[in-house]
Amino acid sequence: MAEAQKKKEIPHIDIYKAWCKACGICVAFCPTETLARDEGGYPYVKYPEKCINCGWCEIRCPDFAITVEGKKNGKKVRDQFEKEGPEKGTAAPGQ
Amino acid sequence: MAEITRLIHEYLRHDKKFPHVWCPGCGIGIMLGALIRAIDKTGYSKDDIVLVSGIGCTGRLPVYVDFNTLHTTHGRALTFATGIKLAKPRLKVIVIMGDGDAVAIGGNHFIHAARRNIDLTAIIVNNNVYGMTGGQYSPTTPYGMKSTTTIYSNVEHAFNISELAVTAGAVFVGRGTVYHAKLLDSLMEKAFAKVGFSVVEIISHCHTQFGRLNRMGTAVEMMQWQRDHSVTVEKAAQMKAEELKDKFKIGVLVDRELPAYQDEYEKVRKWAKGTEKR
Repeated sequence: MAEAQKKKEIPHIDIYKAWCKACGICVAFCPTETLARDEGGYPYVKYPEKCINCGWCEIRCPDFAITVEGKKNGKKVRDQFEKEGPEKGTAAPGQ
Repeated sequence: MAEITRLIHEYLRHDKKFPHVWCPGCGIGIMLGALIRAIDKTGYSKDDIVLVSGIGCTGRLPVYVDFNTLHTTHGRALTFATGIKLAKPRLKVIVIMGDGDAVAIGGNHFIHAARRNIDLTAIIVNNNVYGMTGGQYSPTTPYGMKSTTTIYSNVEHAFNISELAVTAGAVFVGRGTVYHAKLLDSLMEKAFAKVGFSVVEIISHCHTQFGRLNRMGTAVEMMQWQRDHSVTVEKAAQMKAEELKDKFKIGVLVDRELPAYQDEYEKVRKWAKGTEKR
């Protein structure tokens, strides 16, 4: 039961392949390495459970090809992440 | 679909060809997202917004969005926009330009639009090069960098667009990078709210032309460069001159109040008609 509930909270990442140009920005700046690139360079969700729903892949996608549907406490995690600032590690979101 | 992308799709012209024309990883796509989010927050309807663009990679931008749009000649976007604003002052006129459009061919129009303080928002995407026409050097190509027309090294010194706008008299000047996409949202929102000539300079990358010639890598590496070489205005105030040597400031550079041209001109009309005494 507990496991089922945990699964529910995982954010849903949707990649619209028809618009994706495989630039690699979403993968490179993903702070938790949820995304990875396949042999063609296109992103895919490697570890869905790692996603913290920060939403930076969606904001930085130049082609509007990736979306993240949040879990309930997603915003809280993101705020906490933003407070820590961009200096911590290369993959941290900026601003 | 998540909220942000749903919102963007509301403003896109789906009868145009997608994915858009820009190179994989181009900053203009990121900036387009920020523009749509910022316009959505202002509360203007689609019919109240006019997007004017010149020639270049940025010139393609108004094609994709469902506002009143105008694709004009090279460097003259600001002149067309001035005409629109004076004829229909109730419209919100936003001018999208590249660095070549704004400070090379349209350089004269740019400084005079700023000096006049006409109520326009100029959004300038600075990618240091003429990307669409083959990577020729532009007035913002930094000293010592390569381009297809300066294959050894650029011996000219670059314009600083934001500082030029400040000196020319713009009431709001902000600078951001496409890496800091959320900062762009807030800068554009502030610029749209301002009455008078407001400028938002967006440091973008051209990995296809500029990046390849200067061995700066892919779009991702150039965005990492932007992250490492940008300092917020607040942080820069506490840093020494040597530390700021190879860095650029991001954030709100100037925010001041000056009477806007179309309001002043309205006064002149009233004086001429005799409805108001000077």
